[in-house]
Amino acid sequence: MKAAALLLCVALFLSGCGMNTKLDSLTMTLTLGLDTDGGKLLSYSSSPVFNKDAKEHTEVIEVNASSLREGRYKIDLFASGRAVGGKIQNVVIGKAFAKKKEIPSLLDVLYRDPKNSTTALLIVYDGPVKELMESKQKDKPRLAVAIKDLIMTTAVDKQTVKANLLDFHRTLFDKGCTPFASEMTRKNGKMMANGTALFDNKGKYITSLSPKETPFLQLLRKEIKPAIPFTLRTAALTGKKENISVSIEHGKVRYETRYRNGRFQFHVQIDAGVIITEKIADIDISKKQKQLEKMIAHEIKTKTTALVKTFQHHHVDPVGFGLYARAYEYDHWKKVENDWGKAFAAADVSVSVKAKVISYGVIH
Amino acid sequence: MAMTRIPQNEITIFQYVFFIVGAQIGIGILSLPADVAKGSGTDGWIAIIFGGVLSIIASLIIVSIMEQHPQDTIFDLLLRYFGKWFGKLLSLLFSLYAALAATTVVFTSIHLVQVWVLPQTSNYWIMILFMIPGFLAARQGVRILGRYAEIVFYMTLWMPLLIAVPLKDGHLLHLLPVIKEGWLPIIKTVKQTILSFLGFELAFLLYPYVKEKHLAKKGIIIANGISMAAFVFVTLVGFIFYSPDEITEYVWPTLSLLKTIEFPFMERFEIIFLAAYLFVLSTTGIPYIFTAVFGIAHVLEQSDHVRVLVVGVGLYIIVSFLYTPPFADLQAFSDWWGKTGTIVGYIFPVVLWLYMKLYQWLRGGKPS
Repeated sequence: MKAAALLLCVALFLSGCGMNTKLDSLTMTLTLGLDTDGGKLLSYSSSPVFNKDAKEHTEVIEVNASSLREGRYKIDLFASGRAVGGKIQNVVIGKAFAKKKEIPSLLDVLYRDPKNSTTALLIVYDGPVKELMESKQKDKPRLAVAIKDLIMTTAVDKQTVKANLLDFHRTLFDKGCTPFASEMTRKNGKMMANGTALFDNKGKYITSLSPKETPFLQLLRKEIKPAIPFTLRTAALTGKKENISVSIEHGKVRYETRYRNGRFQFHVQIDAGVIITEKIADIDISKKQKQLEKMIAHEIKTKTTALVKTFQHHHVDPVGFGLYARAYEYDHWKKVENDWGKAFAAADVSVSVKAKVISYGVIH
Repeated sequence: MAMTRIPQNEITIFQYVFFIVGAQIGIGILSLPADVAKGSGTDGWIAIIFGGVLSIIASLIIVSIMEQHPQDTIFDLLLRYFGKWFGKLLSLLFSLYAALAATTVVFTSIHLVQVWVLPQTSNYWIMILFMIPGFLAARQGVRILGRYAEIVFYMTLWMPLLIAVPLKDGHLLHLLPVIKEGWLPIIKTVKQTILSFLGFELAFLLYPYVKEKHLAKKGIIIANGISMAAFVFVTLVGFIFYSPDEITEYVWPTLSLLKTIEFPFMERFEIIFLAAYLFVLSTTGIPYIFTAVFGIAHVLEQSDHVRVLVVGVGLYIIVSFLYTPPFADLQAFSDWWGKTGTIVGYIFPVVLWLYMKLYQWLRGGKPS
């Protein structure tokens, strides 16, 4: 009786084997591309080929379709294996396309079907996506891996942001901030990370931040770890066109929120602890530490203030000032929550910075 | 009642606590953050605390009722106070309520498994796989279920740690301001938390089996407290991670939270979590199946509940061949469980308590 019951149990588990999936009979989209060509939606899929007879180890398929899921069916027509999306690493969207269309409705399938991975990176590509998808770089691994590595490592150095589909979803639905994504382009035939793409609260591409501006966005977002490096000119101190590189190792960013005279007022207080990483300029740091600190503080202040001005000009809020408005001025927030970009554009934002040099490095 | 005689089935106070915690933490917690956020935004966690207090009060009333006749389960008690026929009718209703709860849990679990883990597998296979261990556990008495609940509780202690992982990307600011729209929406939301707290009403059945009866009141407060802490914790994590505008976009925010966890060697971590969570769901489903079957066996004056159980399990499997509940039906099930649960868990104890007081007063203060 017991043996029979055990046998029955084992037999039941076998039922799963009937619908097995072999890895080599799958066309796993690792990078998904979306672009437009004169009103048509072009969908690209780049997937690895597991077959020793194939000359290329990556298969790229281009179809035009009205939606991603429809695109996948069409991709299936071309693919030698069954097309699956569970392993998507990157979603690359053409800039021209992102400018024209609100992308969230297109990405719906990636969120709705739990089989899809929402940890794929969202990347805006400056140029035709086709060119990236079909690019072959001999000194790089597979395209999907190369793109992901590029973005992840650049994001550590704060020159771009790391935003996956889920982050995009979170920032999109939060009324207090607007979404952003990494941006890439190609230069001299090599792909490169190129700062940050900013979206409005409907998910339409608005503008970009350069790799030099992005570290300060990350500073405002309190994403300081492991460090925020930047280089500044020391002309004001030495009178010569020289520079010095510093990196913000730790810091506090505090927001004060008020509502006065019919608009929001934000005061950003940044306390930065910096270390000197490179000194080209001829300055005796130990003697001029105070001036140097002042200069670094001034630099941070100028950059962040300019950045906030850019945000206000474009009615976007990737930092999330709206979160503070909601938390501390709820009644006033409630009135403007559905058009926060506009209310934020009218807000007064002031920044004050204190910098402190905590280390010169191991040489004087 | 050969299998269910009290001395063989005595349970310790721990088993009693974990039995109730197991019955309370089940399907509700998976959608709770979104449910309360719909009613009162990020103040929803306050509503959960109110819900917890309500369930503690109701639980204490249940224990006070059961204290009057320490050897009686609710089914014996109903016969004692309402006579043979009306008592049996009430017993049957109570059993049907437990059956509804069990059905909701079982079918929702199957749906979850299908949506998240095994989209290709038919629901009758999953039902059969659920029913084998379900049958083996429910066949035994309260003691085995108590031991099972206790071991599952210890086995699942790692889960909260995992759920807390997404906190590192969250914003505490989402919780502010506390009580943003006043108390009214919060009070209204308490209703949404009732379904999650249901499970304590199984004390109606459990009480006579508890060894340390003098601790029963403390025990049930602790049980409700553990469940409340779990609910508040999950809800706060959900609120801190998701913005108040976004969390209502998800059907099961608690599972979606886990989707964000990613290891270099593994993706879709929620599959593993959900597979382990099936143990937690089983400690909700099996006690309700047991209660329903036990009650019906009692009504039919069967000496043993196994025969009824065989019929019940058979019915589940047959139904699963014929009927695959769509998501809308599952929600209807949950709604009905919530509504009847309000009656059985909150209103019925109060009415019964008043009735018993009146009954005893009419008899000159003597307990019957």
